[in-house]
Amino acid sequence: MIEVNGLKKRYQDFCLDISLHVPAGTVCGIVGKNGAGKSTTIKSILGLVKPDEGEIRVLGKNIGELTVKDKEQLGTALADSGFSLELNVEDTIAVLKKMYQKFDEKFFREECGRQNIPLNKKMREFSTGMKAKVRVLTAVSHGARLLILDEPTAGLDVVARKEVIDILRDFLQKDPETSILISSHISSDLEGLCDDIYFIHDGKVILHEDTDRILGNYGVLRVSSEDFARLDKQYLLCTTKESFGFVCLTKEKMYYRENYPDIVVENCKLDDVILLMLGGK
Amino acid sequence: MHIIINNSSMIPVYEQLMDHIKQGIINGDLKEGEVLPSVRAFANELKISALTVKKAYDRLEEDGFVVTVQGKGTYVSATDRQLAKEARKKAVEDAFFAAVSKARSVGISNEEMKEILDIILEE
Amino acid sequence: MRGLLEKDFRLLWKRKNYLLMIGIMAILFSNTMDGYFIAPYICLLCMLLTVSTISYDEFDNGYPFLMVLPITPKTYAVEKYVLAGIMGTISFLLTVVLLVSATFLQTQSIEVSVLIEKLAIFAPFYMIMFSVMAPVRLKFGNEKSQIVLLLVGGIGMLAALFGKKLLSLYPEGMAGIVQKMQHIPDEAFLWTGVVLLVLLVLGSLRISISIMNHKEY
Repeated sequence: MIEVNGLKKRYQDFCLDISLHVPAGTVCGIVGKNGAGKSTTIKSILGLVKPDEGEIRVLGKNIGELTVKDKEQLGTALADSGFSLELNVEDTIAVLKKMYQKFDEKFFREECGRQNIPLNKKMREFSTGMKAKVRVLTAVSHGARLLILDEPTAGLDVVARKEVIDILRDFLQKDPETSILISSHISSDLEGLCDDIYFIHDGKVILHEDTDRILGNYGVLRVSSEDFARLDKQYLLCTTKESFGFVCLTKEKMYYRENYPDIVVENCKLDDVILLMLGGK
Repeated sequence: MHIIINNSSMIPVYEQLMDHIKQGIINGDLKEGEVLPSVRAFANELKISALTVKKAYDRLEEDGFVVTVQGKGTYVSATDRQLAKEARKKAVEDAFFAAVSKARSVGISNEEMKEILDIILEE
Repeated sequence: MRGLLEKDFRLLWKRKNYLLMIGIMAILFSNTMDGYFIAPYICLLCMLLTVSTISYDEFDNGYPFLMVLPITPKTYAVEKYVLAGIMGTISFLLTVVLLVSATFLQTQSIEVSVLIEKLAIFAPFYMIMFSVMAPVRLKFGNEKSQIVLLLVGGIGMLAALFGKKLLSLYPEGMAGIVQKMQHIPDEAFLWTGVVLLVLLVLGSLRISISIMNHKEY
């Protein structure tokens, strides 16, 4: 549903160089530090920013060719942009009804009820969590085939984050062919949702891997310098020097568990991948 | 179906899922022809990625435990009884393999291994 | 576009206290001073209200989200002009109603057609002002456009002064031109004026569309 080939954009202190692919029916995550290029990538995909080079296709067409009807199939939530905060949720419903043919008012109202979102209060007076929920609900309430979400859980507490991710899970269940592209710097949100993850740093993709492989096959080794010397390094992705020796990221934790049973091999989370790949060589 | 996934376990999640389903089939909790939850429904329930569930279902299908019908769902396969037996046999073979590997890694020879096995079988 | 109009009308309605106050002032004006004063008053207000919807969109970083809705940059620009048209019509009708009711209350008789003719003069001003303000606002955003408009206003005044100077230096030349123009029937002037106005508005619209097409967020 989304194909990005050789997207390049040059800024003053930063250079974006990305290729990524979101097939139909998948949930794809983009993870990286603040300022790594996640938002710029998403803005380029949405046509808000024009790339210097590269090809971007969304829903099978070049972004410039998307018709209004195509855009109705796209649900978007941006981190820091939404309807004017002078409006309230009732106003939003009225506008969405006229914007999207498939807008499901009943569902939207029910969800606002469930999430305790007031309908007649100006959105300027909402908490960060409520604003985020309104943005996400807007994206999932009009029968979209593809969701593109830029940091939908930024600034939210852990409970609110879970509620937002649950809204997305419910959306996914309605139609198995729907896809999501979601960026976040909170990796734990993405671990139980995304099928595969793109790790972005300094505008480049440093790793692209299936989530279950990272959680199931990747591992973190903690070894002393002596042990490190005798270690078979072929499955190590990167290494960082520490005071006690070395910390290594591996794609095959079972290999090291079986062959070096005395060495500490830990399970791996997305955060570990980021920290190690950025800190090490 | 009530499955509990241990996220801190050494065993990859899709393997845990496969094991649970295989157990269910072997025990008879999951009957022949019974439909398993859809990939996304299951993923939603277990709070894991849909791809993980899909991998588990694909592997189970390779091993003959389930059958996936395009557009309809994944069903417990009809030839499960025979396969359950074969799966149990394979599990034992895997256990033997692990024991042999461990024995070799600590320097035990083939003859010593056979001696140990004889002793155990006599018990 | 219906969604955008819905949004803009709802945003304007949020300021109903402000609008109410203006309405009361307008009623007062129409009954006290030279009632025709309210014509440019309401006219200007409606135009500024329309342009203010552009500010609302800009505020709180609203543009990126607007642009991913099922609209095109062209639709966005066109909607602002349509809104201006609607607001202009509202201001016109409001002025007519107020003036008629005011003169009625003062038990004076009034020819509605004469009234309309007198008010019609404001339409071109409205259109010209909007045609200048809209693209400037779209291109330069809220703060910068105030500076730009001051500059434009300043240049306009300089041009007018220059024209006046020219007139005073060459009275014979001007008289000659004026003579020639006497021969042209009034209707031709009228229609030329209308055509020029329409061209101005359309030209402004094209510029606005182009500005929106090239914007990045």
